[in-house]
Amino acid sequence: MTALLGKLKREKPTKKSSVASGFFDKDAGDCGLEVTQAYEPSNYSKSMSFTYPPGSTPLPRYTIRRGIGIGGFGEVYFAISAAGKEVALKRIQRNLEVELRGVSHCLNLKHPNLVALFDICHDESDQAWVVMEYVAGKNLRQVLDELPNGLNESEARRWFSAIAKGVHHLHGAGLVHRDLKPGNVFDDLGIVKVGDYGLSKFISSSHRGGHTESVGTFHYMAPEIGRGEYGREIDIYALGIMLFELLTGNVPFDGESCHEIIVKHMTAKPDLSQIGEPYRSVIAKSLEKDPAKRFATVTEMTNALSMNVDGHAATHAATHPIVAKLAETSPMEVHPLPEAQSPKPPLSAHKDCSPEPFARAVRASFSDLERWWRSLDRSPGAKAFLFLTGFFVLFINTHWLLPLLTVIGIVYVPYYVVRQMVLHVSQQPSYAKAQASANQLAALHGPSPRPMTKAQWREHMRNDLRAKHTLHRAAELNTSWITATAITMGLALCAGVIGLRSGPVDSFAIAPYGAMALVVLVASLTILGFGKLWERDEGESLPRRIVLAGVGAGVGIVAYSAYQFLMLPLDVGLGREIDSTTLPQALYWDNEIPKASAMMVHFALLFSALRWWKAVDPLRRNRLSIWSVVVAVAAEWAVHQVLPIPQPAGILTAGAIAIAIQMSAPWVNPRLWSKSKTEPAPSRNPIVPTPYPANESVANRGGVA
Amino acid sequence: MSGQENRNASKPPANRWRLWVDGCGGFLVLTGDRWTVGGAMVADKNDIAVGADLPRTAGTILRNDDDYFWENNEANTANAKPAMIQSGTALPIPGSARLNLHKSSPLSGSAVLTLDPPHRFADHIDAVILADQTILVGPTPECNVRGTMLGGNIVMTRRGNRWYGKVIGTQDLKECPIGERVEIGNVALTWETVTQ
Repeated sequence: MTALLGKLKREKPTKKSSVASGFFDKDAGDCGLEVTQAYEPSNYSKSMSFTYPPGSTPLPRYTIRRGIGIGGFGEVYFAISAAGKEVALKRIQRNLEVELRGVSHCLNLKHPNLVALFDICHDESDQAWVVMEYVAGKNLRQVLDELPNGLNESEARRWFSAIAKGVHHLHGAGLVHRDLKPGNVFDDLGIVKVGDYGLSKFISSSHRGGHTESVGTFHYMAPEIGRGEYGREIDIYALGIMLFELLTGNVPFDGESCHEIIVKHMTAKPDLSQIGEPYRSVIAKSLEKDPAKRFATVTEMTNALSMNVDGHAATHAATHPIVAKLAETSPMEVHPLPEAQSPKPPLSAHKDCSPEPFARAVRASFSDLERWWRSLDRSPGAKAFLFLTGFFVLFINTHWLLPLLTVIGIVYVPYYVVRQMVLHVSQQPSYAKAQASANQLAALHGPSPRPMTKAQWREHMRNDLRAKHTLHRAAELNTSWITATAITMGLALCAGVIGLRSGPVDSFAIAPYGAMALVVLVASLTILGFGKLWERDEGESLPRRIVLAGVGAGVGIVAYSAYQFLMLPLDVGLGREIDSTTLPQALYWDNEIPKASAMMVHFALLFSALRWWKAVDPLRRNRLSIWSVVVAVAAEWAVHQVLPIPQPAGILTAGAIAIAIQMSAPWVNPRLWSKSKTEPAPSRNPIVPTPYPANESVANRGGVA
Repeated sequence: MSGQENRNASKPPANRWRLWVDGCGGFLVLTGDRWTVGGAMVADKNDIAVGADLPRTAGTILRNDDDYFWENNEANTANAKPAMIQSGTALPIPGSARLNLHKSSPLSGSAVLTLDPPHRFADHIDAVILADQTILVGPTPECNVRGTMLGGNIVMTRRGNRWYGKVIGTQDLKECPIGERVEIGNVALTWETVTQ
């Protein structure tokens, strides 16, 4: 993940993190291949260490003058030939086969809008060097950094037209660039050139995608890339992003993390409101999630913009069959990712996951009220007077306010619960794909340089939970429910054995234990269900408490019904430690026996008072926390002081719920983190902190009893 | 012989170096106070040779204190006065090339000459530094040699025919042997002497 984030940071096309330009910044733009990938964030603060000093002649005819950059595949130098020709020399150090294969396929491409590759040479130690055209001008990244609002239309068209011509030529030669981005486009003293196509891959209609190297940069990465099956449509997508950026200075999908960007690529629609026609419709079509809906060729795309790219295009018919044949005879190139690691293409468009409107409005109102209160220019005494007056007004209006709020609550809480459930479930595939893509890409970036901190580990595991497939989630929930049922039965049996150790054992004696078991079971199953929905993120406390209040009200109804059905007395153990005033008439009969509403409110309070979702969170500290049980019991006791219900059934119920949900909910042992610190991560997926594949269900990790 | 040519003939030869900064660029460093500018395709070399359709010698750049002036070779009349060059403006040279002078920092009298595309200087360099007492190298705009990839600001100074550098804010002055790559702070660079 570090490598991913590192790459993201160095490629993020914002002024803060991107390669800014200066008069003499030839850094990223100096040469065609890989230079823009040279600079890890750390390279900003330390000098680049080049192997060869100026004056060196590793290749007999070329004298190195200076280092340009250190790319993903090796060092790049500015050199001068014996005859005085300026070239860029790229020393291939890493991924030798991949790079040389890519470059050798591109050696004979000739196009004014492509950075020329001259030759591949070997030095005395058989080290491979790529000799390529030296590009002296800035790259588009630098130009855009200088113009944060984008280029004017004519300049944008000049850049885009040239880029499109270069890409069109690549496609005509049966190649896909795969890493189109402003950092790979150079203004070579007035001529726009596309470089860095060493990653290009031969492709034909019968042979698509698959490569062991990561492809593209997050901001320009088509959503289908993570699947490992892609064609020239990914270049069309990147061209659409670049056209957007040329015109606006920003990328359409940006975010604070790679996950966010990937999710946006897969689900979000770009905001094209600031772009006029014909660019708006062209970009919209280029950024379609479904590759089949995009422009099929660069020509189609540029025709829609009234540009002509055919001037220097290669002859498709002449090159395509040969290329296809080469590709088919090069099995080394094809490394399709395992099915389990391949995220599926996006199925649905972006769903609205904004906060519930009513809750948002209430929250905003309270926020406004708070701001008004803070900005109120009154003395503390006057403020206190105002506060007391407001409180008094509210108090004398409780006779109609409380029933109104109750009605609103009865309507709103179920609506909120259903909304949360529907929205969360509908969002699941997007997150799953994002995580799977991120994991897949991360797996290709080599070992993580340092072990994760516990916070990072938790974040990763949380992402892992987020990425879980719905089917896995349902299976885990099913397992948890079965376990909770068994545990509830076991607890009821234990309680019965202890409680009925003396005296007759008949149906009347057993009934209270049955009622308690029923309440515990219903409560546990419900909490487990919501816990499963909420395990994706830490979440906000207030909405969850509101939902749990609704759950508690439901549990209260069940409890009251069970007591009524089993004809159990409701006036047992109603005594309280606190000598409180008269109980509310709406909740208690005159003889202080609780009504159904009392049970509902009692359990609603109990459920909303505690963060029950923490007890079922797979990333909780312990599988069974005695402290949690004690807290639940104490909370029940506290609620009982306000709204009494039969005891000790209430306390036993609260404690049993706390035990049952913890024992049955999945749990990821935090010791896996410390283990991942000390053991080297597997090379296949080095950043995953556990020895399990990223998509493996948590339940399968021994977390569920 | 014209007055201009007389002046050129009598001027002390400018010392010349090439400075290669890794991850940044190559620079011709000139000391002195006057430098001739001309085309690169002529036999008698000018101090600053531009690969463009320039006359044999287009003119001379003069430095007086911290100000720079352009003296056109064509306007070699007795009353012709050198024109002051503002930082960031182009020199009034004939031909298609556009040669710009930048004076990055008021703290350094050094200036930098750059060429707009598609023209380039001779000898594979990216810019010419008209060096005064110091040259600032680093990622910030006030640097004479600016490369945003560079890890920090350094200052180069000349003592005799040797160049020394140090990270700004430190006392450790490091010598830069000619022909050897030196790392000063986070900047890797190489000095070369140039014989005309």
